[in-house]
Amino acid sequence: MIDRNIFKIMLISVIMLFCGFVLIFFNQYHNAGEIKVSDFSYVPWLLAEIFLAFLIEFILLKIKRNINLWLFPCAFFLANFGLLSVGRIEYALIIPQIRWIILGMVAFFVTFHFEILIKKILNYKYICGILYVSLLSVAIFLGSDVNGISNCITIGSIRFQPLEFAKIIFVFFLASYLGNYKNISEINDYNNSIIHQYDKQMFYLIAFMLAIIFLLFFKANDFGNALIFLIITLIIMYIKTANKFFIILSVILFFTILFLCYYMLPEAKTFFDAWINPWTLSSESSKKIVQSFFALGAGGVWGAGFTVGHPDFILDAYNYFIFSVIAEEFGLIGSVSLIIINVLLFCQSVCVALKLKNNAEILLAFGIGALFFLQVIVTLFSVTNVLPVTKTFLPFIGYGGSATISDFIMLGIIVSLSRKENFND
Amino acid sequence: MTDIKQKILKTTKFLIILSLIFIIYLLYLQVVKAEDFSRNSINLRNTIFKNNNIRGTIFDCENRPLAKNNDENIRIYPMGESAAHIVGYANPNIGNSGIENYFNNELLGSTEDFKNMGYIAQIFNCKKGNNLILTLDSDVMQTAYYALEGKPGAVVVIDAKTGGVIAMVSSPSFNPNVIQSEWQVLNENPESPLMNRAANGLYPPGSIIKPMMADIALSNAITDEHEIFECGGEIDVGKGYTIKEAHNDTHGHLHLKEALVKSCNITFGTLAMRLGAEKLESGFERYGFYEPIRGEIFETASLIPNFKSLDKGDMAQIGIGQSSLLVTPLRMALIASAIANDGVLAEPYVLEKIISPSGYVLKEHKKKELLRIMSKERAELLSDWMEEVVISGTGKAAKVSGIKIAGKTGTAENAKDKEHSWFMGFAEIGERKVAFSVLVENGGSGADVAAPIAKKIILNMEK
Repeated sequence: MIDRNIFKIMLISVIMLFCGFVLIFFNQYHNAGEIKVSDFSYVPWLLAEIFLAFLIEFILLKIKRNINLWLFPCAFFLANFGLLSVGRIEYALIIPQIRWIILGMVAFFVTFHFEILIKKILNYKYICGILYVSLLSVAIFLGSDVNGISNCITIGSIRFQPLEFAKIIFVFFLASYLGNYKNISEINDYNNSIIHQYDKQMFYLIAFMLAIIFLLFFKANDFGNALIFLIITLIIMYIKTANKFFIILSVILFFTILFLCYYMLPEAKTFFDAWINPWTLSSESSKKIVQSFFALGAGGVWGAGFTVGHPDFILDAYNYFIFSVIAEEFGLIGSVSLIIINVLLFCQSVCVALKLKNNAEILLAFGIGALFFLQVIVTLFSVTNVLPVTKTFLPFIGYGGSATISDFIMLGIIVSLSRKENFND
Repeated sequence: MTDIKQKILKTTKFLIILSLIFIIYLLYLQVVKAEDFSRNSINLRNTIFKNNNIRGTIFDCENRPLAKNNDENIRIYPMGESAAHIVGYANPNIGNSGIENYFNNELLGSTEDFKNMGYIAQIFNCKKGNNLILTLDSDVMQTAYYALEGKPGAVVVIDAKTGGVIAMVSSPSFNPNVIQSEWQVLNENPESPLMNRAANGLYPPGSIIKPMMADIALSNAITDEHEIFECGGEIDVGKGYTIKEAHNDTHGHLHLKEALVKSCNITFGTLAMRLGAEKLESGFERYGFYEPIRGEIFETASLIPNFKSLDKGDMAQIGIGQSSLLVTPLRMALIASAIANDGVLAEPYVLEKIISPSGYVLKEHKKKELLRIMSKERAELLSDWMEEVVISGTGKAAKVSGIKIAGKTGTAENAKDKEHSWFMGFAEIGERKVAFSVLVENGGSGADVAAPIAKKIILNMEK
């Protein structure tokens, strides 16, 4: 019975998609007075996307190995929600975004089939570490800001953000690095040298992570991703080791870095001043925050109505600040439902993690689920000024090829870990 | 369940609780703070809205326009000076005032009921703003304005039963049609024509406070209808100060009724001294002096002295509406309306209806909880006495044959110049009881200046 309901739920998001595009059509018609025939060129792409989604879900259903069937429909819903918002802001971005979603789904399907490889990767913690560092270095040292997207690498006509993929590798690295870590209580032959060895391992990790944060913050001005890397490390450290000393130590060091930045770097000072009091409108990011507030206020409970809001007032509307657009047009009801869908996605990935046996795999599944949810939380906090403005995306929602594809790959990893073979020992 | 899994559950719980707290914050931003954000001057949404929508028309009670857009989309005010203060103006460069300001959003086309309702609001949103229907009567406004003859002053006329304001006129006035070109001159004019004297001007009430003082004295049982007062034309109130009768009259022996009809200062000064600070304060409180009218009519709070710090002489002066007591013409009209309406004060209002361009009634005035400030018997007693004022007392100049008119004149001394001329009361015109107050700044005798103005208004309304 559950099987059929899943298709019904997917159907709801298709209906939403249909209604949304009808409204976008009317909005275009209303503003321009006419619609060119070529404006419907996205329809075949859209049909292909929907078909692919149902096909993938159908295959997942047929495999019958206790695969988690909820994660993909959740992502499908979020992706469609994001597609509508992006298309509503910029008509020309509809087809590219559909293409990215299709590519993402393909990447999901491929990743899903590489379960053995995924498990193998977990044995090579140093390779993960090196890969991560190199991706990060490429992003930080070679990347540049293009059209408001930070740390982009441009090769010919293709642009991509290594940082989005670095996140995946980072979770792999953490899971493999800490998967074999033993707590003092777990070590039977208690002796000093072993404790020493494991503590050293922790120290290296913290030093490594802080170096990354330092680089991200100083070189790339990317506060949001630095924060996400820190929190995800702390969460996994807490789960595996429960060593309060290291957690508190890294939090203190992180804040020390922030304080040093605040007093030493003028850019960092303007950045944090904009956060402390955005109403002075002293910098670009404070203007972003104020416009985001106005959009949230204009939304109210019921929203201004899809296609009726003013995303043109919001800077970075179609990527970092897309939540403000959604909150204006769909109101509190829309923004809360968005949060609930994300909570659902997170809970499903926790369920997958809880059914696993291998420590490293548990950490990987939970780490990726938490990474999704942390991105949501950090992004939402940033657009409501709980945190300073960040350059993080809402998973599956904001416009961007790298982000969409890497999100689907992460989803593929979790779903593949939920396969039955993983807990037959 | 292993240790790791328990910690996973803990972390999950923590993150979910974090997002729940965030939802509460979102509720605060999107609902509580929404109004603040939308009023912010840097919010471009307002400007866009203003430029896109055609402002609605403001009508009086008989559908005559008070403010409308002409073919070139310029705001015009057919009533000119006579309705300038209460209706106000809407000017893109100067700003808005009066009803034009208070109902700005409604006139532009957004009503609060639908404001945050997404698509439902879109159904009701067309490029035309909503129309307002007010309780004002252009005819009465015009009569009142011209009756003031350009002298500084104010007239307030209220339907006593409902609280609907029929006229609120302030003189000198300005022409809202040319407000922009005359802005500088108007602002520098020492007579301050931009101020709405009816609701925001503060004046000593003089003798028109006496009906209220009579009620306060009777309800505190410090006197009764049968007590005989002795008026020798002068009374010593201590510290070498005296209160005198106007025109150096002496009234001899008289009851409270006669004291009111003849406006005997000695009697009312005595009563105020007998009442003392506490009873006076509770009396003024009962009459709503401490709660100015807010909303579409914005009344300036009356200036009530701190009774406890007053000496006997000042107390006696309060009894005849002098000393540091300052009130608005609107407030005095409200007292008259309460006496007319069997002791019940109906809250004044101006907006009768908001109507969408397609004719749908979006908002209608709801009858508010009425405030009883005196018993029905007392109100009847006072109106009988005030009727006598018009029939045989100081208010003869307001007499109109065939209409029951009750009133009280006032001639309020002030530090600057000639006395302020006051007349307040009510008339039964047809089914309606119409309460009014008339003030002419430095006009002199209330009986000679203010009462005839009231008569003109009543004659106009009788037609």
